[in-house]
Amino acid sequence: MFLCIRHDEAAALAALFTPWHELASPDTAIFDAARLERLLGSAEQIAQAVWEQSGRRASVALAAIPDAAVLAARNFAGISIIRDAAGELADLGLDRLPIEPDLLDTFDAWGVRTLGDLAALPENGLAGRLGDRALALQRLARGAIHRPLQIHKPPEVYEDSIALDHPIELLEPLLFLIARILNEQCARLMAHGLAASEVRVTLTLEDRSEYVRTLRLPAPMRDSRALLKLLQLDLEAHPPQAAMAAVLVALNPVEPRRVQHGLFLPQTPAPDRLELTLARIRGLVGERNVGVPELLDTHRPAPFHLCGRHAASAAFVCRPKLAPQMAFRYFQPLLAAKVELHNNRPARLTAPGIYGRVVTSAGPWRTSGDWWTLTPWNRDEWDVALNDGALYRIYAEPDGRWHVEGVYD
Amino acid sequence: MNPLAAFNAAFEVSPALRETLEVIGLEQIGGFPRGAITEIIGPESSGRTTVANSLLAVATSRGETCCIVDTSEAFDPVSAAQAGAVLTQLIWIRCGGNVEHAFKAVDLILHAGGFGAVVLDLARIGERAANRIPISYWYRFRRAIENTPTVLALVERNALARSCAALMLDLKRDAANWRGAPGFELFRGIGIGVAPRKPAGRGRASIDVPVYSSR
Repeated sequence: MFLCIRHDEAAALAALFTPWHELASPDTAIFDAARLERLLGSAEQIAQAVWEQSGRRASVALAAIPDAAVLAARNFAGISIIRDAAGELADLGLDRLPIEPDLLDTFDAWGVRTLGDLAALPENGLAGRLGDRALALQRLARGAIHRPLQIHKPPEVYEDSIALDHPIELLEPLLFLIARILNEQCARLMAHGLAASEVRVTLTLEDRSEYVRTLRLPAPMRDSRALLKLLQLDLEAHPPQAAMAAVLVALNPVEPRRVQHGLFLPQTPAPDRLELTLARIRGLVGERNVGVPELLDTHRPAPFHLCGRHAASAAFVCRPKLAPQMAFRYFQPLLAAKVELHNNRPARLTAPGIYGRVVTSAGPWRTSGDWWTLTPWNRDEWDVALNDGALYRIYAEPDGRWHVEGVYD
Repeated sequence: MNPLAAFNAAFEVSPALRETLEVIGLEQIGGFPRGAITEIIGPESSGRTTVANSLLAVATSRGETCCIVDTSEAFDPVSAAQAGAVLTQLIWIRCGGNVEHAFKAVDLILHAGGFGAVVLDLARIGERAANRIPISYWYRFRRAIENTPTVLALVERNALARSCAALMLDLKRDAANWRGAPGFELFRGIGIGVAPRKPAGRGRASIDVPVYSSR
């Protein structure tokens, strides 16, 4: 006997009795009560228990087939026990079935308005006129559909927490706890054929506040040692400001990265190893100094920035015909310069480490922009060649200050 | 040409990145040796960065992941992209003038493995900082990339790795190329003289490199 519950919290009610239940809709759950007889008693006793558990507000139905139980639970209040589905549900209107409006109109035009009317129609004629859809509905009306339950599995949550009796202040004992959680959760991920795309550590501090660090990984990983090292580097760079009373580690599960390697593709760094290496370098040189260069669509000087994300993967690249281009090197920090002018053109350049007579110059190239923002620019650029052969790009600001921006190299 | 042979030629795993120097017209010198250190030496405006950018362009356009360790934050991605470098394949590490950080970063990168080319830019470091670099670093780097496909290129003013380098390119600046009437000149390029100091006896070459300008 299948037991169907119709209630706002049907899934939670069904889960109190068995984890093996089907969710026909968010408010309708079905399970096989016959399999629970040894544990919980007869199907009728279980139906009574479910009804009592719901505060006598749920509609509970028992039937030999799952769909008949669903129909009964959706249409009858209280506890319904359906022994003969075709007979007891015969008076229900056709609109109680999951039926398309056009089919319902057709049946209405034929004078077929109840499940009993539909069940009485000849199968061959119905199939010939309205096809498989109508035949499936007729089998439902006759209570003749036997199907296994589609067991509902709640989404797996890959997280765990540890509450401490005494708050800890040092990172090392915390890492022992995180390692324990990561080992378990990574083993679960491995068993389920998944990997983590994000790791979130939530530390409950002594003052009841929460400190959250989130690592977004460039490629899904499930190596607990690599994840632990990444977390260690991150927490060393951003330590919490108070002792920690509890720790929660949550992993975001995703499909692992599958790469089709090619015989002729060049070797690239392993993503997890590369991420670990870059995390170590970030700890050394700062977070904002490691990444991939990205060009910006602007006329502003130095139109690029460093993007933190990288995707190291070998790929066939459409190879353009390569030709050498003169490179430019920036001076950081900017070099303040003293420029002597002759006929409004640079004649002598003096800056830290740079001194010489200007042999040839090209300019001024007047550029300005972003005057509507807080960071406008306005400058006159010159390309100058000194008597020792070096080629620099210098510029003057409107207030007359000169700078050496860089060197052609 | 046999299609299979053409395919094999296109994806040949060569012991040296020959195209790098072919691109800039220096094919007679050979290529950047893989699994070894190359030094690109010269004063400012001698084309050191141009040669390094060509190396990055060739390696990244082959699909390899490259890295530039930028000691003095001098790298210009616009120039590199103009030379043909695929920026998404390039990892850029800025060290803010700290030579020690640059060396530690290179060490970590080389030991991670899998990189096609790693460029260490030491062109703007002072002479005192250059003299304080322990020589053991070069042996360590040479050992780390031995028997790997990685090219480690050093861009510098004076030779630093010396005996640990397999190729040393000595660059000298030739005349700059200016066009236009006097007083209205435009900077259009530069001449570069290249002579391999090690291995010796491969001749000397001179090339003209145009400058990209949106002006």
